[in-house]
Amino acid sequence: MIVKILKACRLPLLVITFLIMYFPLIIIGILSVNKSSYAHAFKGFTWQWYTEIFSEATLRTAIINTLTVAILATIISTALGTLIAIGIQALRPKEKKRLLMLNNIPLINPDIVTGLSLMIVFSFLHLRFGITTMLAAHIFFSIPFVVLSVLPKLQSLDKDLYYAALDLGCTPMSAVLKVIIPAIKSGIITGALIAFTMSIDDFVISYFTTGNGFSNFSIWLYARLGRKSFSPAAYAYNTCITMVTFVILMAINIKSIKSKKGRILNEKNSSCIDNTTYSS
Amino acid sequence: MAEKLIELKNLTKRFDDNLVVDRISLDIYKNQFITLLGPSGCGKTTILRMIAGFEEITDGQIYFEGKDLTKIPANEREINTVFQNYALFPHLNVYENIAFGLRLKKLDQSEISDRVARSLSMVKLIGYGKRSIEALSGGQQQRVALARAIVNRPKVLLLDEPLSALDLKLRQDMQYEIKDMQHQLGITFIFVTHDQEEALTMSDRIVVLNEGKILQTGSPEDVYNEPVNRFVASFIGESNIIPGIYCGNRVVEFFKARFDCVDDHFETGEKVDVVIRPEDFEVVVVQEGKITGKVADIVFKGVHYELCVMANGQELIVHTLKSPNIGDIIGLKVDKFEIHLMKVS
Ligand SMILES: Nc1ncnc2c1ncn2[C@@H]1O[C@H](COP(=O)(O)OP(=O)(O)OP(=O)(O)O)[C@@H](O)[C@H]1O
Ligand SMILES: [Mg+2]
Repeated sequence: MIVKILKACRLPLLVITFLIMYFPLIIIGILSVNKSSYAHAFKGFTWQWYTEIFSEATLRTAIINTLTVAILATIISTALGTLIAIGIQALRPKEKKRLLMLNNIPLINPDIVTGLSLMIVFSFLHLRFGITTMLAAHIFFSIPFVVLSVLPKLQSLDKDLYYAALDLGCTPMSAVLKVIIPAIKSGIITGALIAFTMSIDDFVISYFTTGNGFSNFSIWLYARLGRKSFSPAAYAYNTCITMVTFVILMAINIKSIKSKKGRILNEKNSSCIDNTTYSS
Repeated sequence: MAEKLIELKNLTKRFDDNLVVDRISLDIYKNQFITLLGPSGCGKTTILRMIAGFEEITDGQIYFEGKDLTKIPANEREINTVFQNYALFPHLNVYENIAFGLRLKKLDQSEISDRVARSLSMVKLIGYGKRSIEALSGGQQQRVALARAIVNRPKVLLLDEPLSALDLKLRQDMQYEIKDMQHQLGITFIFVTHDQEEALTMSDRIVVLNEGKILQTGSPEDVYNEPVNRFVASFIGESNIIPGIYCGNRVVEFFKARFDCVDDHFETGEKVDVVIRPEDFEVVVVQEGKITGKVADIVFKGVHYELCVMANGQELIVHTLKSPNIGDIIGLKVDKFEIHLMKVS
């Protein structure tokens, strides 16, 4: 009985959930094409705000800052995270488990704790707050994501792969560069995409670890909200970011579906090849 | 005998407190097919990995052409390995997998493609160069792994149970092909397996290992016909092991009867284990046999029948071409050359 009711409710529940989840995004999307610069009235359709994203100087700087930090943080955290994952994978099971736990703690820590503690660390070190500290913070919180997306890839590799490279003449370093990293490429790319999206949409940690007037988009937005100088170009940028995130997530998902499909296809293929070669 | 190529001296490996390889000494000669045979976990892979340079040695020495091998890093040893699970590079196609070692040696393009083509033909995979690794069957991957190793013209090829993942028919084909390949290449193969039949078929010399120790080294015939102890006898082929007493003068007593034999390196009155292979019994009428037994079970095995005979309270496995009936009392005869004595371990 209950099961039946629940089953009947499935579709409406799904629709409601999605509406609640996506309603704010849709509203921002609508506002980004609203002729009026006030949020309470819709006065016709326009692309104007999209073209104005880069015409307001402070907004433009904020966006450029966001992207600079995101790109640098992605590159550095992907490189470090990959090396860390390779290192962790080489450990004995017991040590590996402990290190993985350490890796996961920043993931479940609330942003505000991470932000605050990083701020304290940076001020202890007498660092000048600004792009360096924010970048360091972004690298710090992105690395665990990279590690987590690279490790399963490493685990699925034949453990002799590295030795096979040595066997054929690689030095330990070139074995990692020529064999291990290419073999886990898809995990690295996934990690980089996650790091990038984490970085462009971070507010709390950025807010605590920046200073001296260096602000990224989310900080700029926070400062402008409710003020007269607020430009609806922010909605336009927001919508763009949503789309970018959406595309990246789709890319990750399609990639994983493809690789699964590829494997199944290959298995089919190889059994065909088997039949032909051994029957001929 | 041919020239000595590799010499293991008291080779020892410990993982923490776990003694895995225990003071192994072994000479390996040029152009020899030598097989390390032993049950799972006896340290075969560990020995190979120490020769290849992937594992530090705890104690002892390895000499290669008279030089201390442990001072040479893995990537500079003139040794190549075929791994148990092949360890092919998944991001490279068949051609690039095979060419990998040659590219590292910075050979020119034409020589590389020449040598890759030759080794592809040697493993019967002509035309497979552009295939991706994942699009190959297990048997084909195994061939690529072989090609990738031999293309570098190593002085020694290490093969770690390369056939264990293949089905029976393919495995038997590959046994001959690998043996053939060793003849053609004229290099030393060190082959690891836990399959005694594979070892007997392929090897020039077999090294039987258990719990990190060498139990016996010898030609397949030696190891089969003259196992040194109970473990080797029962690990290699089927055998009947009967407790007996050496009576001196090449006479042994078991089953309350005296038999002539050919072994004589025992003390008079010493307890011995007597090994008789199932195919070495002759089924005769009761009066003619020194051993009398009752047929407890018969299984048809294609060419022969396998009898289970109860004699003096012990089960004997007997292979015979003509089948008696279950419950028959039969006599068993053994030629003196087929009675092998072992020290009691
Ligand atoms: N890296 C390691 N750390 C700790 N113990 C190990 C390690 N490698 C192997 N061992 C242990 O050493 C012993 C011998 O292992 P090895 O792999 O050499 O056996 P094997 O004869 O090749 O067996 P198999 O036929 O199953 O492949 C095993 O008990 C194994 O648990
Ligand atoms: Mg092994």
